[in-house]
Amino acid sequence: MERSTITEEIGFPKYSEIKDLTPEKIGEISRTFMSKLMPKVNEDYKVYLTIPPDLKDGEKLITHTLSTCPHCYSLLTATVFEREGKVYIRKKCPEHGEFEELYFGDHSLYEKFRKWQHDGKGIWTPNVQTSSLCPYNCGLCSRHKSHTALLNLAVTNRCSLRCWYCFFFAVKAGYVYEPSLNHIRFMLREARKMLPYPAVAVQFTGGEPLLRDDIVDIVRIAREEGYHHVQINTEGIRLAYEPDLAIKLREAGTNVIYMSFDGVSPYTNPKNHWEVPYTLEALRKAGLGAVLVPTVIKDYNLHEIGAIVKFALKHSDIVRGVNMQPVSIVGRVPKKEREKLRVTIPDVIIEIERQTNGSISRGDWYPVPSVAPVSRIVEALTDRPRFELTTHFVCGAATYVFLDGDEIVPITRFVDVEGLLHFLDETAEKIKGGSNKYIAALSVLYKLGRFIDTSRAPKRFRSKRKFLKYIYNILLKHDYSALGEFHYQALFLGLMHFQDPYNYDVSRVQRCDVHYAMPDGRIVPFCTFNVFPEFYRDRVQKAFSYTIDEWEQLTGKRLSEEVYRRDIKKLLSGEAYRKAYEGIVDVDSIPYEEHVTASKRFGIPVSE
Amino acid sequence: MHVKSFNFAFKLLDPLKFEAHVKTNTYLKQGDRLLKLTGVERSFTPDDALDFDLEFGDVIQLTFSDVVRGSFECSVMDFDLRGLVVKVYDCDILGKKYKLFSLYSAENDLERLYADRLVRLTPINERISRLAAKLGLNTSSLSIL
Ligand code: SF4
Ligand code: SF4
Repeated sequence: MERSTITEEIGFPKYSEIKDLTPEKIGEISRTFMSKLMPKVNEDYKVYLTIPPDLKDGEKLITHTLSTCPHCYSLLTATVFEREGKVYIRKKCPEHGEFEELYFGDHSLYEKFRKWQHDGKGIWTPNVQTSSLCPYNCGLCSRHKSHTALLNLAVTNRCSLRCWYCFFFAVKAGYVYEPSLNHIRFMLREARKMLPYPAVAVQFTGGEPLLRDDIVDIVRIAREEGYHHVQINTEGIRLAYEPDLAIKLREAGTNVIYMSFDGVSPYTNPKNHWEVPYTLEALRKAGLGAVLVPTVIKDYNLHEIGAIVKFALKHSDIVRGVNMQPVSIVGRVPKKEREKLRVTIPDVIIEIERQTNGSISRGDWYPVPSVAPVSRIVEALTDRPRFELTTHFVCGAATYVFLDGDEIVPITRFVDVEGLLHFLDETAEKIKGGSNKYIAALSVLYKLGRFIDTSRAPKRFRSKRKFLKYIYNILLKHDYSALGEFHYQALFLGLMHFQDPYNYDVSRVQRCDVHYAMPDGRIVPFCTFNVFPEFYRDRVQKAFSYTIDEWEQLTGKRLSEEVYRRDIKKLLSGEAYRKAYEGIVDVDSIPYEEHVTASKRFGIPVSE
Repeated sequence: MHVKSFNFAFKLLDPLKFEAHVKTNTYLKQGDRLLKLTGVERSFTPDDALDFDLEFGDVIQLTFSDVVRGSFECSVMDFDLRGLVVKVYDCDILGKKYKLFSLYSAENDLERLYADRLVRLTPINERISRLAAKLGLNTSSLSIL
C-alpha cells in the first residue's frame, strides 16, 4: 500500500500536521489509529492450527510449537525434532506445502541451553487489547512474557548507502519516516511506563540514525526521559569523517556505538571496511565504546568469525564487545539457497572454537536467560522487581573473554559460572522462602570466593579481592558502574539469532525482550517488527511518514543526492587503516581494483 | 453473552519439566450473592485458543503456544449469560496449590474487570476483599469461593 492510500484509508492526517504537537497530543492522535493498523485475521493472514507434521525415519520428537508459513504468514503448528545431532523445525501450510528448516545446529548445545530457560513476570501494563493470536497482536499484549531489555527506536529510514539487498530505506520505500523530537519523546515515554520493569536501555536505529542533524538532541531526550543506557546502531561512516560528532554524542549521554562489521576484509565487509579504522580512532578520541555487530552468513563470512573476534581483542581499548547475528533470511528463498546462507548459534560457536584453536570453546557459552539468577538474587535482596533477561534459550548466547598477553582467557576458565549461578538461585529461593536477607547477603559475600580460581585468571585479576569487589558491587550494592568497569576489562561476546519466517517459533517471540517503539504507541518485539514488515514495520511507518516531496520541501534537501561515494585511495593511504588491520589481515596483498570492485558490487559507488 | 470456562491438565518436558492442573469454578452475581454455574463440558478445539490466552496468558502466564508444546487435556464449558461473572481458578502448579480469581462484566462485550496474577499474589483475604468491593458485596457473601 502506498503511503497516500494507507493514510487516506484510515483517515490519518498528514505527518507534517501533527509533528510539532506536544508529545501528549501526538500520542493521543496516534493511539486512535492503533487498531486500524493491526494485522487482521483472514485479511492479512490465516490460522491453520491442524495436526503438526509427522516425524520421518531417523527423527526424534523434541516438541511441537506454533510457527508461520514463509509465503503467506499463516499461523501453523510445527514439529521440532532432532536428526543426526541437529535440531530442525517442520511445518505444513495447506496452501504452500511443507517447509523444513535448521532450527539449532547442535543438539547437545540445545540440551545444555534449555536447562537455563527462565520466564519473566510478564507485562502488567499491556499497550493493546488481546484480540488475536500471537504473533499478530503486538504489542505488547497481556500474553507477553518479558519486559523490554532493549528498546529500539527507528529515527529515520534514510540512508546514504545503497546496499543491494535493502528495500527498506527511504528512496526505495518511496516515503520518509522521520519522527519529530516530540514524537520520539512520546515513544520513549510509552516504554518507560511499562511494568513490572520500565525500559532503561534504548538503541536508536534506522535507516542510518547519524543522518539526522538532531541526533545529539535525540540522545539528550532519551537521557531526560530516564534511560540509563543509550546506544546508536550505525555503520559508523559519518563518525569517520566527523570525529567531533563522537564527542558530542558521548557528552549527550551515548554509552556505546553499535557498529555493523561483517568481516575483516573488503570482500566480507564491503559496507564499511575502509571507514571502520577511522571510526574507531574517532571513538577512541571521544572515549566512546563500540560493539562490533557482524551478520554471519554461512558461505559468506563464517570463515572470518575468529578473525573478527581477534580484531575486537586487538582494539579492546575501545571495542567492548562483538554481537554476532546469524543471518535472518528475508523473502522467499529456495531451500538449496537457504542452505548456503543458514547458520545458527551453535554453528557460530563451534566455528569460533575451531578458528581460535579451542581458546574459546563451546563450553564457554551460556544462553541469555542463564543470567536470570543474578536478577533473582538482587530482587530477593531488594524486594523490588528487577531488570531480567528472560528471552527464549534459543535466541541468544554469550560469554566474556579477556586478553592476557597473547592468550585469550574466557571467564569460564577461572569462574565456576554454573556453580555460581546455581548458588545465587538457591540463595534467592531461600530468601523468598523466608530466610533473613542480611544473613543471606553475608553468606553470598563469604562464599563467592569459592567460585573463583584467581590462579587461572588473567594477570590483572590475580588479586581475588579486586575481582570479588566487582561482583560484590554488582550484586549487593547494585552499583552498575561496577558492571561498566568490568566491561572495560573484558570483551563481551554475544550471539543473537533473529528469527525469520522459515525458522519462526512463536514460543521464542513471546519471550522476546528486544522491542521496537512504534509511532502509534505500540511496543513490538523485534522478531515480529522485522519478520512481518508488511504488518508491523512498513505498515506503521508508512502511515506516519512524509512523502518524499513533502520532506524535500520541508528540509530543502534532495533525497537522491544523499549518496555516499567512497574515496578508497584516500582511505587506504591513511596510517589508521593500516594499523587497524595489522596482524589480522594482509591488506597490502589486496589489489586496489579488488577494493573498488568489492565496494561497487555491494552498491556503494567509488570516486576514482 | 458467550462465556467460556476451562478445566485442564498440562504437562511439559521441553525446555523444562512443568505441570499444571487448573479447575475453573464459575459464578454469576445474583442480587447480594453468588450463584455457582454448572454446564456441559466439551473438548477444547483450536477455536478456543484465543479465549484460553485471554484467560490464562497473564493470570498464570500460560498461553496456547505453551500448551501445544506438551500434553494438554482440556475441557471447555460454555455459558450464555449477562451480568457480573466471577471465576475461581483452583490451580495445582508444580505441586503447589493456589486459588486465583477473576471478575468479568458480561454485558454487550465481555470485559475483564479484575484478575489475579500468579507472579504477584497478595494474601487471599486481601484479594477477596478487593473482589467483594468490585462486586459491591460483603466479603461474607464470597465465603463460598
Ligand atoms: S509477540 Fe508478544 S506482544 Fe506480540 S502477540 Fe505475541 S505475546 Fe503479544
Ligand atoms: S529479537 Fe528475536 S531472537 Fe532476539 S530475543 Fe527477540 S525473538 Fe529472540
